[in-house]
Amino acid sequence: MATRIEVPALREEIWQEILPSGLACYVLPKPGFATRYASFSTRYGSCDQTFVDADGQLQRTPAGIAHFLEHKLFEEQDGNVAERFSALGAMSNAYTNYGATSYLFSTTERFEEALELLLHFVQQPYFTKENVQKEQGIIAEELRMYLDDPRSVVFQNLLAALYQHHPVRVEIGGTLESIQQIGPDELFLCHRAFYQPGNMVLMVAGDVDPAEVFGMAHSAVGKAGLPAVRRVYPEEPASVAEAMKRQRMAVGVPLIAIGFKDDPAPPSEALLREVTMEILLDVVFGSSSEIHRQLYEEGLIGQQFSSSYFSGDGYAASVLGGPTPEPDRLLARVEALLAETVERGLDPNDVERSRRRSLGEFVALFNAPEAVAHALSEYAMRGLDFIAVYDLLRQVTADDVSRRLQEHLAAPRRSVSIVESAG
Amino acid sequence: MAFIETPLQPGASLFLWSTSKFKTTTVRVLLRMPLDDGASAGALLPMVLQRGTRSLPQTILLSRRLDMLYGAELRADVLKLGEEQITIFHLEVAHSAYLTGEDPLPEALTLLGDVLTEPPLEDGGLRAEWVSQERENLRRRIQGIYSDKAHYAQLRLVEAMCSGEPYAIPRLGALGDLDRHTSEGLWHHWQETLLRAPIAIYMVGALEPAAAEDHARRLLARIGRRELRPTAAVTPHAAPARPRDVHERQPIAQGKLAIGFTTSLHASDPGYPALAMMNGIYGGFSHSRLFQEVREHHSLAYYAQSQIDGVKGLLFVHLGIASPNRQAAQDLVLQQLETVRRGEFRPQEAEDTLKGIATQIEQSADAPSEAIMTDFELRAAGRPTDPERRIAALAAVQAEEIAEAARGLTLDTVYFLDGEGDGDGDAD
Repeated sequence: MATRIEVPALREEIWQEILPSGLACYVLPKPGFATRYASFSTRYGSCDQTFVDADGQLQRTPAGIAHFLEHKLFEEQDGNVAERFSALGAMSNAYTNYGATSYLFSTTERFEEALELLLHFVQQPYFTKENVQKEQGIIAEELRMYLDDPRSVVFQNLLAALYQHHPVRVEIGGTLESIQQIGPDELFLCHRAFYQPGNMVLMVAGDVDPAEVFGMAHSAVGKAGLPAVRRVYPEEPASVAEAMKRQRMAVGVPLIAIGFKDDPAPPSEALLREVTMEILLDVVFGSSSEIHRQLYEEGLIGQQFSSSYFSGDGYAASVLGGPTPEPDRLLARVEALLAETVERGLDPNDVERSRRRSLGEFVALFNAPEAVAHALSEYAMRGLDFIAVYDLLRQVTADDVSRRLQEHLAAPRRSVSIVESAG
Repeated sequence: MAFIETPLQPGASLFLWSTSKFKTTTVRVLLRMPLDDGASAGALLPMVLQRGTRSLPQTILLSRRLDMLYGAELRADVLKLGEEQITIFHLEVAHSAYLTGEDPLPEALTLLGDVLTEPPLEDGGLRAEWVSQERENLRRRIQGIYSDKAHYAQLRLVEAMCSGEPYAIPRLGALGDLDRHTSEGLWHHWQETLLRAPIAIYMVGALEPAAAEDHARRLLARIGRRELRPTAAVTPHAAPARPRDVHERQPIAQGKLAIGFTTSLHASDPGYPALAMMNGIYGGFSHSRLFQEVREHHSLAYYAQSQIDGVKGLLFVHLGIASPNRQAAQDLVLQQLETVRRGEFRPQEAEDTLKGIATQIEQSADAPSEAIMTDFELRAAGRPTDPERRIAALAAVQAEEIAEAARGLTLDTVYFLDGEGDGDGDAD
């Protein structure tokens, strides 16, 4: 049975149905919008390298295989799926992150045909030795592009410094070496393990009829699949792997990323944790904060300085940074100013102001159905309800936020990543 | 989507799209100035102006005020359009229907007017402390382009290709000019801009036309007396007899190949849709020749695409490739162009391109800022803005006209950022 979740204050509604096959479907109706958007996602990301499959076998797979699989699913026996979307006037795309792989399209016409194609191709692997080898060249170029992107390097180096064993410390796409170990057999194995309906989410947004979408999904993904795999993560110690990682690159301005390692929240508290951390980081480091004002006036940061909470299965950290002329001085100042903030405590007025800002941003997000769809889907794959964020934003108290400041930032477990100019 | 224009003064109009489709009200004020040696001053000004106002003379006060207006977004920046520099002030506020308490829009509009016209002044200029801080921020933004290799390659290509023309001036201006800008000089530059720049005020949201016009008139009244600058035509550009070849080395893992062509058609030409179709077949989409041949069939690149600057009449091709594959990739790029020139493409390729562009046109009405920029750029180029007319014009393009548009391309400059040899950095 489909259920309707209302957000009365926003005059929005979301329809949800878990199909008998186990596939979770969501529809955000958006009358008046030309774009119709769909994503078909699996809870399978770069971190899911080691798992026990449906036959009880322990499987260890090469780094980057989820991303490799994402590339390869676009290939069919008689051509490329992207071209078939193009022929329908639809734009298709896909991405892999640490915890999920998502296939998506947006279109203004012939939505049903495009949805049919999406549901179909993701379930139809076609891998040969030749087409896998060809893809290695393309993916190698993609990885080289990221090796030259200092924002990507500074962030990935930070994760490698924060985490001793958790696979989040490895690049999503793997390495130039690890992708050489991927062949058709490994790809088939992972497709079978993770592309089962019970592990997947279909998300549709736009001017569509929810019942029709659920019906189509049921016809295309009718059969219940294999039971879920059990993911195996290594035990991750509380302490960081390395305090500091430096790298030289051909950059115009140095970059810094500072990470504070956090204990992941238990599942029942994960959503409140996200909301509380959004407010805490905004109050402490956001563009209206005292720390931001001082760093900006001292010439250590510009408008690109940002902070965010980065969390998933078995990992959580606060990450801040951006380009800076003097990474080491910025680090020293952040530490000193943060210690003062912890000592002084938070001003409830700042929490109130940040709450208002977050509420306004939540409202504005509904201008962009694709952005809401993306958030809903990503949260759903972590077992979280994105819509509940709206109520939590109103309920979270200044005490909740202050408690997190003391727990998480009073004696932080810190790593730093710096990219300096090679010149 | 249909913006209704209300001329308010010579060179100043309101463009309103009154709709309840969105949860916010969006206002953009766009000022058009020539792209010249004042470009870095033009880029610096919005950075200084958004630091604060006479009534909120500290950045943190302005920022906190905007937070209290439910995270109202107020920011300013510059854009390069042909040989003009466009200064954009952007305001977006959640609509009061979805909030509790007072409507944040009136105060937000007042703040927008304050930022535009009432910066705190000292000694006949903008606040010196802010000017020197933002000068350093702008310096780092310009230097930061070096870190983004694809962007850097495009910049260097255009520099080599259009040397001596205003088009070669980057969006943020030249690094060497930065130290010339004084507090007084900048304030003078801003007053000149307010006096002489054609102004477009765009509004999208659940606004009554009378109320929107009232807001726009009040804003213009604060700007005051106006004396329009004449708009200059784009400097004509001709390809050299022999294509230029520019080579540069950096310690990077992936080489960047950027190729510039001149086109025979400009955005204001009635035949322009043929060039748009040609670009779609050649390199605008994932079904296009460049993506299919260079990436899918030969695995030479992760990205391979083309784009047009219709105002200036140029077409650019961009590839990220392993350096040893440079010649093979370049040969493929030119060879694919030859086939389009000979009209050797399937009707399916033209159909997919038409559908792809039509989807983009229709989708631009789904986001306020995109709708505004699309309408503004089309008007600036003297092209029709109505989506149906635009799609019909593309649908009417014949295969022979596409081939003709491809034959109108002349290879001008090949720029290669070579990463050969030293690639993987030196992590420790």
